[in-house]
Amino acid sequence: MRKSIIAIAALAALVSCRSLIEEWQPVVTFSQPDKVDFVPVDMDDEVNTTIADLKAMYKEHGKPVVISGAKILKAQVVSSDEDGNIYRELYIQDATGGICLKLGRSSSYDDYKVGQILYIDCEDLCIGEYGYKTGNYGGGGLLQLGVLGDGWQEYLDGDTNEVPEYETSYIDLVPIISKHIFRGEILDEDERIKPATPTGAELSSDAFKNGLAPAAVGKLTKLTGLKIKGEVFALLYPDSNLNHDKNNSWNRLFLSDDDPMNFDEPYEGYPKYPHNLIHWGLTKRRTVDHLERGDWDDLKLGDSAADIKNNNTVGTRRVDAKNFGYGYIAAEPETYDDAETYRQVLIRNATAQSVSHYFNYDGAEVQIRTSGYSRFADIPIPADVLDGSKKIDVIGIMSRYQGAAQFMLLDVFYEGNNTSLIKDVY
Amino acid sequence: MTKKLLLTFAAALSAVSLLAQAPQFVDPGTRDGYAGGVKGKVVDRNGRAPIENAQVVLMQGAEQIETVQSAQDGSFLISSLPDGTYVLRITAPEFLESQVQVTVADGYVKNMFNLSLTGIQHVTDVDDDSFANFDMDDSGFNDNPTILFGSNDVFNNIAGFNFSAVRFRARGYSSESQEVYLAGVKMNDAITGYGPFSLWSGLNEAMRSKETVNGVEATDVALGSYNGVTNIFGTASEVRKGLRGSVLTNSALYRLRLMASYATGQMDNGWAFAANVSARLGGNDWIDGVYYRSFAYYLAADKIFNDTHKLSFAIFGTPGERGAQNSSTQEVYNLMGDNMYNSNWGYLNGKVRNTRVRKTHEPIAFLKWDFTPSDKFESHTTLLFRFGSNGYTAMDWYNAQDPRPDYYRNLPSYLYNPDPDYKRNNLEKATAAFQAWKAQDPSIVHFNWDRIYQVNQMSENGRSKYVQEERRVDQKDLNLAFNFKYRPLQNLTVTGGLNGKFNVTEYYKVLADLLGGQYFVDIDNFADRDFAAEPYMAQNDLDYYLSHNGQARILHKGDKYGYDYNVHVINAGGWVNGEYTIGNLDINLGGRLGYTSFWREGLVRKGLFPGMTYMDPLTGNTVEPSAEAGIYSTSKGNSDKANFLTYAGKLGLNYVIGGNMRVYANVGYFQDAPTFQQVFVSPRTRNDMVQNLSPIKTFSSDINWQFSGSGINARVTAYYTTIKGQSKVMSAYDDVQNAFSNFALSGIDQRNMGIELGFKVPTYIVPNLSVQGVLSLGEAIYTSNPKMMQTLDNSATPVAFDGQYIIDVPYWKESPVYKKDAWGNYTAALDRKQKHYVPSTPQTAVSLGLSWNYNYWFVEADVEYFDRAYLDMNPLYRTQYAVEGPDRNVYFDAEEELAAIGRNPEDDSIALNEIEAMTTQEKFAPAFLLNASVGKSWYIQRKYQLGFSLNAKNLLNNRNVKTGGYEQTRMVDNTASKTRYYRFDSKYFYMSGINYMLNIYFRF
Repeated sequence: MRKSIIAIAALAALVSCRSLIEEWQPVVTFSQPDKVDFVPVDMDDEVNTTIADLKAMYKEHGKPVVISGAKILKAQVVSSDEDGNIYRELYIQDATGGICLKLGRSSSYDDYKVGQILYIDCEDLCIGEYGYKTGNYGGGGLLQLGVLGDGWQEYLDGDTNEVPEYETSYIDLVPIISKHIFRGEILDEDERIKPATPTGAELSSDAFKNGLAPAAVGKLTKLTGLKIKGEVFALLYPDSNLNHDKNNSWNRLFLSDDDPMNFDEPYEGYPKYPHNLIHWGLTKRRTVDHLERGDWDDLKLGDSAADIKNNNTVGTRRVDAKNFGYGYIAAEPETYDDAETYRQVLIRNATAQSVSHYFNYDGAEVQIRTSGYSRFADIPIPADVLDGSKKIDVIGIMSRYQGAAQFMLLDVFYEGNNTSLIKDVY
Repeated sequence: MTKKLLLTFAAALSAVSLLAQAPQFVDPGTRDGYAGGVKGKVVDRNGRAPIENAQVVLMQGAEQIETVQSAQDGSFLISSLPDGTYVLRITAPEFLESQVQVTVADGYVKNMFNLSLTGIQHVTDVDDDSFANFDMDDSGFNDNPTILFGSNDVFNNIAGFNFSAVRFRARGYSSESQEVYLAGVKMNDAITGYGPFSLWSGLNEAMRSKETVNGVEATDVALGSYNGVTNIFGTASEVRKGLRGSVLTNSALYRLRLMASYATGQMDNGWAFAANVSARLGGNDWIDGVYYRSFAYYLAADKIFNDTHKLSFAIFGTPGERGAQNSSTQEVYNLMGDNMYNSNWGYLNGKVRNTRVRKTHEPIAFLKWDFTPSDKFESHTTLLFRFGSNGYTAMDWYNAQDPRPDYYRNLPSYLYNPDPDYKRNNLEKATAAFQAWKAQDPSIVHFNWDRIYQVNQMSENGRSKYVQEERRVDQKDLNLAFNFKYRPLQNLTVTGGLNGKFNVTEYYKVLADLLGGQYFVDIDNFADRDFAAEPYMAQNDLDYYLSHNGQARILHKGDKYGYDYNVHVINAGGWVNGEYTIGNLDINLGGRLGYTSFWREGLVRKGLFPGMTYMDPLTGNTVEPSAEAGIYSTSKGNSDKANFLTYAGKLGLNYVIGGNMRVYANVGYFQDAPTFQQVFVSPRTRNDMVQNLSPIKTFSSDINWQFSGSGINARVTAYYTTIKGQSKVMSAYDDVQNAFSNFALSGIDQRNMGIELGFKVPTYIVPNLSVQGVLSLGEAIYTSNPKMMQTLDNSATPVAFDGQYIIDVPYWKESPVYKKDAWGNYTAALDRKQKHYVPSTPQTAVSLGLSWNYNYWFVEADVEYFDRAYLDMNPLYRTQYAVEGPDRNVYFDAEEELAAIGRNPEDDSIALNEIEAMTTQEKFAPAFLLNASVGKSWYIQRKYQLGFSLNAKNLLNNRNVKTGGYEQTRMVDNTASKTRYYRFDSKYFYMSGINYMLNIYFRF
């Protein structure tokens, strides 16, 4: 009997000890730590390339380059996606230039701080271009550092003749990020890279328009004394879930107020902003507001000959609601049971919209394109800026799209003033 | 794995080694001749079947007067007793001992009528702990199994234990349909209706004494519903007398349970005291991150004042915490090579930390008054109060990446799919993801706590980007229940009662941990994204914003935030049941009437749904409340009240054949109120309710045959139930709407029918060896296509489908299956309509085994088979909208094939394969399991009892048994063709592999 009790007690003790050692101790229960320190990486001894070196590897438009061999880059973060106007991208700079790091993570500013040193193991990454176009109204785009774009390896290997859409793809997967990007120290304010200040002549030069890697592109930049041109543009997709490429004009709506509004030479009596595009961008809510107020009812549709002939507009055109996606914008829409106006379709499927405003800068035209998902999208441009009586200074990233200067806004001030017009407004 | 097997083997070996050293059985009883003065009938508490050969011992003080054995019909007689007060102690194999006080006066033979005994369960620890705490909160689904235990019913006794691992639900019913009472008070959750077993987990000794009926049967405490009634006595005198202690270890849930109890029994001075404490601690062999640190206490006292009055008081609670398990997609399980993978946890400073921890302490106190003025009338009145806190932690984040390791964008399938329509064609990235998961880098495959802390510490101004919230559901639940039993005639018993419930439950969030940051801000993430330029819209507490000049509330640890509202529930009702006996026939007829009212009371004003006009302090602009789509939404104050008048009726016939057999049949009609959760579309944000509410209407019937005697126990039941007009609200993120959505379903009908068989029969070949088994063969299907309304958390306007807010879900009850040609291509010919089943329980469940009992030994081995279990369905996938795709049309894949069969492709607007792909309900693979149990107890010096039981489950180590899961309410919408949607991968839970439970107990 005694042996039995001892055996049972021993077994109980065994499992209890196992509990204590292997199951209780490792579990965090009552007390939580206050902090887990970040330890910056220092790879200075291994650095052997620069941004200029990398950009120089891109020799020809339309030919992405995969970087081979050990190439370690040291660069500084100069952009933040906190405001949402820069999305899934990070701009880095060193003494030789700036480049877009195609880091496909949202809210990357949580991990990559402005002024933080990054060491990038570039081997197997890719230098590619976004926004290049040949022909009229064409020109160079933005060089990006990412991974080779989807389908490009097959194209380069000759497995397909179809040119893939994007030359680079996002470095969005944690294992790939961990392999290539290493976070170093965060520099003090006075050690950080200061914004570049290109001249208007530089931005309107042929080198800027058509060069492979103009020095001004990809850098933190400050432009001063910008005057609004009164030219504004947005492209709406009645159903963003459907094809909205150039071949589907029924699903593309151009919202453009251009030359007639240019207040340098306004047509007499013509309202400067007939479609009330007076905000930096358009959130979904603002987009719906405009539609419901009928601000865009006069926009003409270019879907079919009948539309053009009949002067059909957003406010008058009736479509088959149920079959809208099918392309049912027929001549006699009243025959449909579910007929509704094009405007109603736009309201039903409304999303946030990017808006481009054009400015004159030192004799050059600069497009400031603001995402409808940015935190300052719905903030109106001040009336005295809209009417041209005041100029602005802007800080952001200088980019290039089809040869034109495109500016990604990070902050805006009245000319010569340090009070932000978009930060902490609310 | 080897370690787990070795540990199981070691435990089994230890048990076997003990067998060889077993001491000799000591017969505790003595046998004397017969006497007289007391008579009665010993019956099984469950089913009232007579118990033959029960030992009835008459005591007077410490002196044993006489001992008799009950006859075949359970009757006994002890004659020629002098007047005086005695105690009858009744014991019978397979039943718990029972004692009752009896007074013989004036030379009469005292008739004690039925003396009921409660059956022993060898496996005594099937309770709420037997089910891992599934993490379903963010899925829009729930998964609460029905727990069958606590009776000596042969079906429930076997199924309750052996089927618990696959989360078996009796007859396919939901858990809320099973009524659970404590001391006569209905304890089902007032808000959700779920079974309340977690309230007394770990108090097995205190709550062991109970009575249970199945199906539509009526009881003495309530008319009941259609899924049985369990009434736990819970008073001090019902706790087994003596001091008991046990040590339990198991490998599937927690490592160690320590339990002790002491009960005085009914003492001569009229008092009875009882106490029970326990601790459940540690993790388990199978699911990392799931752990227990739970404790339990129970204190109770009874006082018999005289023959008429008895008061009972008890207070108990189960403070503690337990880590939860999460579901994942099959892709994740395959990458990990482990179907037990749990994505909820990660390493923090080398320790396992679970993001999802349930922390509860909900004490319950009750006072019960038993009033017995005569042999013909007794009544029981209970006042019960439940209070305390119930919390569940989860991650919350603002302007930060989704931290979950198995987030779909982190998986290879998101990066590459051979079907070009998915536009996922980066094989290199997919390979990198695959390799990272296969390497099982803890920072990839588990929650990355280090990064979370670093992000918060490095955040400008110290604002936390990630925090741990605790979702609190704190109840104040006051109940008053009265029931009576009256025997106006020898053959007529009338039972009845009145009950009232007043429940106020506060739902809110507490900031549980800033995770290295210094503060957080009380704003709505989704609203902040959608209304960035209108900060008042994003305020979770608009009143604070308005009174603090446009500042959002800054949060610190322990602050309430997010949402805060009370749910008020008032229930009142009465019931009566008459039982009339004509010879061997008992007739039951009963009815109940009830009133239920509930409403929401918002305690904070949410910016999205202010319900008033105000001036924004930042801009001076006047802000009008939204009143879109005819719905005026408000978040603060009282909602409309949902009021329901409910009623039910039952008829039961019970015919006893001989002494051991009975045939009984029941039929009932029930009109029940839906629960709060089924009615409010988005209680976190506003007062809106599902429109056109109506009670749930249930018709249920069963017919049963039961035999109990000569060592044989058997029951066969056939049942048929229809449940109509159910509603349900599921909440999940909708990719198409880019918002957190609520899918309110109404008009869900189902039909459950089938048979149950349970038996235990001696082999007659090997002494003491019995064959036992159960069969549950049912068909629980949906019989209607409900209506659906989708709302968004950040919009007052419901989602419109073709201009309609309320739409049909046409593929809910069944989906079409089309014939295929010789090449496997779809043809337009309909093959059949596939029924859709009530999910998450096997509709075929079989157990067959052997049981050997001798000299306080028991050895059991069972083989189980489960089949026809189905996945919980998502209503979105069964809409025409989802089937048609973004272009609102779907095309037949091969137009020439369609033309070949003489059809115009343009006329076939829906592709048949797309319908099947989107609407089919997944059926789980069948499963075989093998379980075994062994146990033994010894009496030492006639007063101590030492024993053990060892249960080994899933001896075949089958780790591919799905026990539940759900379809994600998400669709792949960004396709190349823009013509169709695809499903997201479903998520599953799996059963643990081989596991054991060893319980060693000592009693005296």
